[in-house]
This record gives sequence, C-alpha cells and structure tokens, in this order.
Amino acid sequence: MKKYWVVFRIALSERLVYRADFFISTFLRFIPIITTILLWKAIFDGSGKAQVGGLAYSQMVSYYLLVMVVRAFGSMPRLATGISTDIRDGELRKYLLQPIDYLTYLVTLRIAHKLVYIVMAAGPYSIVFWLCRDYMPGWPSGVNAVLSVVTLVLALCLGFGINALIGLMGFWFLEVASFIHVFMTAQYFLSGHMFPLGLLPDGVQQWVLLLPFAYETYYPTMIMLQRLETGEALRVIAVQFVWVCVLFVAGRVAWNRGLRRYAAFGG
Amino acid sequence: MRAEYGKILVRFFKNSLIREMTFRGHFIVNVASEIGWVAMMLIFIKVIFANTPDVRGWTESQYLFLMGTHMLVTSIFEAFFFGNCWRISELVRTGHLDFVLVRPANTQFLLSLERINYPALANVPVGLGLCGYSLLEIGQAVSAGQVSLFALLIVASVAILYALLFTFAIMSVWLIRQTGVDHLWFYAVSLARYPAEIYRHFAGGTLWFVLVFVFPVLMVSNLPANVMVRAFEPTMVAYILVVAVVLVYLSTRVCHIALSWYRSASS
Amino acid sequence: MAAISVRQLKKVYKVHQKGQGLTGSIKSLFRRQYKHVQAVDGVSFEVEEGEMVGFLGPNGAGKTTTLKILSGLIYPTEGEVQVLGFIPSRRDNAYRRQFALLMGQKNQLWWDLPAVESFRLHKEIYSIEDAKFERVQGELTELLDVRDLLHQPVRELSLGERMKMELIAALLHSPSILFLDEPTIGLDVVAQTSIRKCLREYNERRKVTILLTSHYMQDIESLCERVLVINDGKLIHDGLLADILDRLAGYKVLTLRFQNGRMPEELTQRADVVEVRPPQVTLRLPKSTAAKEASRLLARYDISDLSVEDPPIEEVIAQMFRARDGMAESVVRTRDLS
Repeated sequence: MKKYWVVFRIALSERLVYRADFFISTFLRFIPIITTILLWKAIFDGSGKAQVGGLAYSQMVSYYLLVMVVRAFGSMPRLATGISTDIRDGELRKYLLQPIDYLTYLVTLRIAHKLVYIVMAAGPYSIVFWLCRDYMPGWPSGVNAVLSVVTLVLALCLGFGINALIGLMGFWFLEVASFIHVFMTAQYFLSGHMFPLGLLPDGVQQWVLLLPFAYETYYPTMIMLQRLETGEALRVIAVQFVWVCVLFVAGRVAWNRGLRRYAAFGG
Repeated sequence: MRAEYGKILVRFFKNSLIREMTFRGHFIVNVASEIGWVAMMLIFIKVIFANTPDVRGWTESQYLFLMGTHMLVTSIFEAFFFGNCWRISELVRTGHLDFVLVRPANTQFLLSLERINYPALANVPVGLGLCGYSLLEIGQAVSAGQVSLFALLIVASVAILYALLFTFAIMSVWLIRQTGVDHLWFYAVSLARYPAEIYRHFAGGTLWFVLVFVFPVLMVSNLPANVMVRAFEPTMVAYILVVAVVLVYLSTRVCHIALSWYRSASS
Repeated sequence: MAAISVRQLKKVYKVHQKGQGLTGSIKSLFRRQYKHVQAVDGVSFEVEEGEMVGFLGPNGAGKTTTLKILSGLIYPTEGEVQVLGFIPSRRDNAYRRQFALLMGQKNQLWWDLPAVESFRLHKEIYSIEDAKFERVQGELTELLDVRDLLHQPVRELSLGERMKMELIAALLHSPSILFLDEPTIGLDVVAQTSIRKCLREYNERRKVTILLTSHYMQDIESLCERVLVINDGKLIHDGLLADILDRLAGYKVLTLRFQNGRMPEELTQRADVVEVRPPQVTLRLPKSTAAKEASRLLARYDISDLSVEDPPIEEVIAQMFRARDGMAESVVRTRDLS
C-alpha cells in the first residue's frame, strides 16, 4: 500500500506546478455554460412556460452549474487514450516489470489529480456560484449533503471504470483512439451533460436512463439539485454502486484476458 | 523564380490523402462520430422546439439552417486549417520549424496548409443537406445573388476563424506552454453555435458587443444564415467582409514579427 | 570569390531566467531577468567553392548556431555573413534554393508516408523539373542503395535508412551548399560509412560545398581536409586536420612489444606509461626526443616490435578543449558569461 502512497504524493506535487495557468483555464471552462444558459433563457422566454421538462429556469441554470461540479469528479480526460497508447506502444511492459498493479497505479494517480483539481477549483467555483446565488437551490440539508458527497465519489469511480474499460479495448483493437472520440461524443449526450435527460421524449428516455452514463452525470446532478426524494436518491446511489462493482469486475476480466493476449503476441 | 503555390497545394492534398488511406478505419470511425454528433444536435433541436415556437425569433427551420451553416463553416475550417494551426506550437517546441523556414516558399503558406484533414469534410454534404432541407421546409425561393453572397460569407467566416487561430498559434513562438489552440477552437465553436440574438439580452449586450467587435466569432455562422433565411443586413455584411480582410492581413504581420523574433532570439 | 565568407560574426541571445518557486515565478512575470549568452564571438573564416570543411568543438561551442546563421534561420548580432553573394538573413527564395540543411536529430520527411511522397513535395516546393527530378532521385537512391525502400512508410524504416532518405531529400534540388549538423548521429557503423561515401562521391561529382559538424571524428577525418575548431564561440584553429596534430599534439605514442612476454620492471614503472598490456607497453614521449628514446630502448631491451605513432586525434582535440588556456593560444581567453 505504501508504494501507492508515494505515487499519490508525487502526482500531487507534479500537479501543483501548473497552478499559474490553472485559474484562467478554470474560468474559461464556464464560457460554454454561459452560452448554453443564454440559449435556455431564450427558450424559456419563447415558451412562456414556468417549467420546461419539469425544471424551472433557475433550476436549469443551476443544473448546468452543478454538472460542472459533477464532471469535476467524474470526467477522466485522456484516461482511455492513455491506456490504449500504453498498450499499443509497448509502454505497458515497463509497468509489468515493476511490482506495481497498473490499474491501481492509475486509480491512485487520478485520485491525486482530482483532489488537487477540486481543492484548487473550489475558489473559482465558489465565485461563480456566489455570482449565480439567486439561481442556486439553497443550502442542502444534512442528509442531502451526505448523499451528494457519496454520489460524487461514486461518480468518480464510475467515470474511472467506464473510461478504463474503453481504454483496455486497446488490447484487442489497434485503432481504438478514434473509437474513443465517438464514445466521448456519445457520453456527452447520454450522461446528461448536454441537457437534462428528463427533457427527452419518454420513449427514448426510459432506455437512456438504463445505461450507466446517466449515473455518471444526470442522476448525481439531480441529487445535488435536491430534485430527488431521499428514497429515490438512495436507489440512485445503490444503482451507482452496482455499476461500479460490475465495471470493476469487467475491468479485471478485460485486464487479465488482455494481458494473456499481450503476452501471446509478445506485446 | 516564384514558387508555384498551386502545385505545392496539390501535393499537400495528395500527400494528406495518401496518409489518410493508411488509416482506413480512422476515416470510417470519424465519419460515424460526426454523424452521431449531428443526430444528437437534431434531437436537441427537437427538444428545444417541443417547448417553444421560436428562439429569439428563429423558427425551427431557420434554426436548422443555422446549424447547417455552422457545420459548413466549422468543418471547412477543421479540414484545412485546424490541424495545421494546432501543429505550429509543436513545430516550435521541437525545433522542426527550422525546416519550414529554410524552404524557398512563403512560410505562412507552408505552415497553414500542409496537412488536410479529410474526414472533417464529411460534414460538408451533411451541412449542405441540412440547409437544403430547411429551405424546403421554409418553402421560400432563394435568388442566385443570395446563394453567392452566402458562399462569399462562408469564405469570410472561415477566413476570420483562420486568422484568429493562426495568430494565436504563431504566438507560441513567445509562449511555448500556453492554453492550446484546441481550447480556443472549442470556445469559439461553442460561442458561435447558437443564434447571436441570445447574447443581446445578457449583461446589457456587453457580451454580444465583445463577440461581434472584439473577438469577432459570433457572426461566423449567424451572418451567412441570416442572409439566406432571415434578413439581409448590408452594414453587417460589409463589416464582416472588412473584418475578414483586416484580420487575415494582421495575421501575416504577426507571423512576420513572430518569425523575426524567433530568428533573433532562438539559439 | 569565396562561396562562404564570414567576418567578425557575433551572436548574443537572451535567455529568460525563471525565478525559483512560486514567488519567483510571480516576480519574473513582472520583471523579467535575462542572461546574455554569447554563442558566437567574433568568428571569421572563408570557404571556397567545392571545399568540405569540418566544424569541431564541444557541445554548446557555437557550431550549430553558426550553421543556423549561415542558413538564415537566425540573425547574427554583429558581423558580416555572405554565402554565394547572398546575405542569408534576408532569406531570399533564390538563396534558399541554393543550399540544404540536414539535421541528424530532426527529420523533415512525413512520418506516415513513403519517402518518395515527401520527395515529390520537395519537387514542387523547389520547382524541380520532372526529368531532372527523376534523374537526381534515381542517382541518389542508387548511390545510397535504398531504391527498394522508397515506397515504404518512413516510420517503418530503420534509423540509418531514414537518415539516407533525409539526405536524399536534402540533395534533391541539387544545392550548391550543404549544411550538415551531426548527419550520422546515432547511426550504426555501416550506415555511417555509407553516408560518408555518398557525401564524398557527391562532393567530387558536383563540386558541392559542404560544411559539417559531427561528434564522430571519423566523419571529419574521412571527409574533410580542413577543419574549423570552435570553442566557447571562438575560432581556435582553422587549417588542415593534420596540422592540428603537428601544432597541438606535442608528443608521440610509442608501443613496445617484448620477446617472450618478459617485461622489464623498470619500464612499466616509468611516469610516461600510458598502458601496460603484456607483452606490450605503451609510452607517451615528447616529440623532440621520441626518435632518440626509441633507438635507446631498442638497443637496451629485447624488443620484438616497436611502433611510433601520432596520438589519436580525438584525444588531442579533447585535450585541447580541456586545457585551452594552458595551450597558450593567443585567441583563447576565458570569457565572462554573466
């Protein structure tokens, strides 16, 4: 366990080096959100309705803002690409020679990166949230706060599981990089990052909500938005947990089989 | 003796095509991804117009036309210039810029067009298809003059995007580590995607003003679409044409200064 | 008129000094600290048409900087540079057609394409006529024996094969001047030899002027009669390679082989012994007394074989850079870098 602690510490300090660029790029991240929010303003004004898809305008605004928080936990930039290139370019062998488990190593690295990001982004995020305080749902109850933290952590695990699994496909397909691009696009839509999934027509919605992607972004955001009853929120967390377990097992199986293949082909 | 730019360009096109052929899977997956993206955008449009008859005066058909135009502009830019602009900081970092500088041809020309990204062109017919479909729905006749003005404005829009991105990219001579060209492109695309009118009602129109007159990305898709399916605004058309010419000219000046600086400062 | 003429060339560039830690980097945002580095410091030389000249010197001596100035990539700070009557820093297309730059550590060919496609691109950029292009490409592929590899993607080639292709790309437009920066770096011996052979033949056939930097003394020895030795931005030797030995190496290397492998004790204990490898002893002797000492040893001991040689040139050069002040070269001064 100690070696992963060292990995964690090194990753932590490595991340802190980039603090200069960090502040600006965090604010820039809100630009697309502003655009989307202005579009929704136009839609609400045009419809003349108080609610669209079950959400009032202020809730729509906070939905997009909270999505940013959830993505801060769940998004795994370059994880899938990193794994597949490690496999393709033979970098993986380096890890195999060391007494270290590749996937655990990656998890440790990610947690460190996420931790630094979340701590450093807390400042800019608070400023934006304070500016938008009229739109926010208000302070959560104790129960809701606990549920929110749990669902965010599970969102992180889920994001890691899905992306790692996609990356491990590199054992079987050489050109996995362009596939990852397709996957990212689909994820943007299916996870509720683009717009709340509740807006989808019922026929489509019931299927989309069955996929793990909805539990990456849409449901955690709805919990933080205080739009789910405690019972429903607990159901969501349970399903999230089940998905994490399923992905953990699937990832292990893919890893073991992939390694056998890797060894057979000589890397 | 003048370098024969037409022939060089043809060779750039050919070499990029040969390169594309070596990654056949890549092309298909790329096209699939683009089509997936369009499908998602169409669903989003359906969701929007299920709730409102118009978005700041744009009807569903007009909005569809805007989306088609946006696809045309962005995919033409991505096919010809994005990869090249993106590569510039890489060339500077690795010192490969030297090879471009010793060639007996205009450096900006060589930097801007060496690599063509053919898969991006797959969106051109899709964009045209969307525009055509929308015109049929509107049922309004368009004159030859309108179409040629539309084409001219598309060229101007691509030129504006090119000038902004290229200028930003060539500045990597001064700042090697910077927020990447890909980020800037992402923000430009997200800003230009929706009807420009949505910005009019925000912060007293300040953002609108900035995006039209300071960082002029807002009109790149909006104006050509306006000319075809909404109103013809002669002053705005003239303004955009002038902006395109001025920005392209400025990009050549900045390129010149940057390269001079490079040649006096590098070792 | 000389093909290349360089007079009192100087190049100073500023290096941004980054502050240490967070406070340091913030401070340096507002007040930039620069260090001036004198890369080339008053260098003058001329190269005649068709000459092959080697550039020698340790890393950072200013070799690459000089080549870059000659090819117009960077501006000189001071001094006059003329190549074929052109001023390189003006970067006239007419001038850029006249030379080629080859850098051993960088490649200009498209990585994913067969080399021949990059050659065709060069054909258009340099406006080479079809017939001439075919002829030159044929000649060069023949010379370097890479005809079969032309249609293979560059990324699948070995380092040596890739370098040969780079060389062809550089020579396609029949430049009159070639600037070669470490053309054989990292290559295996066979590839090195074949590239040297090509350069020699090409120089004979076309009277092309070649300026070459290399870490491998063999490159220089087999290609260049004349060398420019540069250190700390200053030219410290300009002349025949052989002269370096005469002028700078004050000693000879004497190797003795003993009959029956019996080596006299007092000989192996001498202060000027370089190496003892029974039955051989190698001694380093001052040039002036080497001959006398050799005959004395021959008479005194039971020696089966004896050889007197010049020291290896690498060693002389290395020694020269190590002890440049001690060599009492008038042009060599220590330099204040601050």
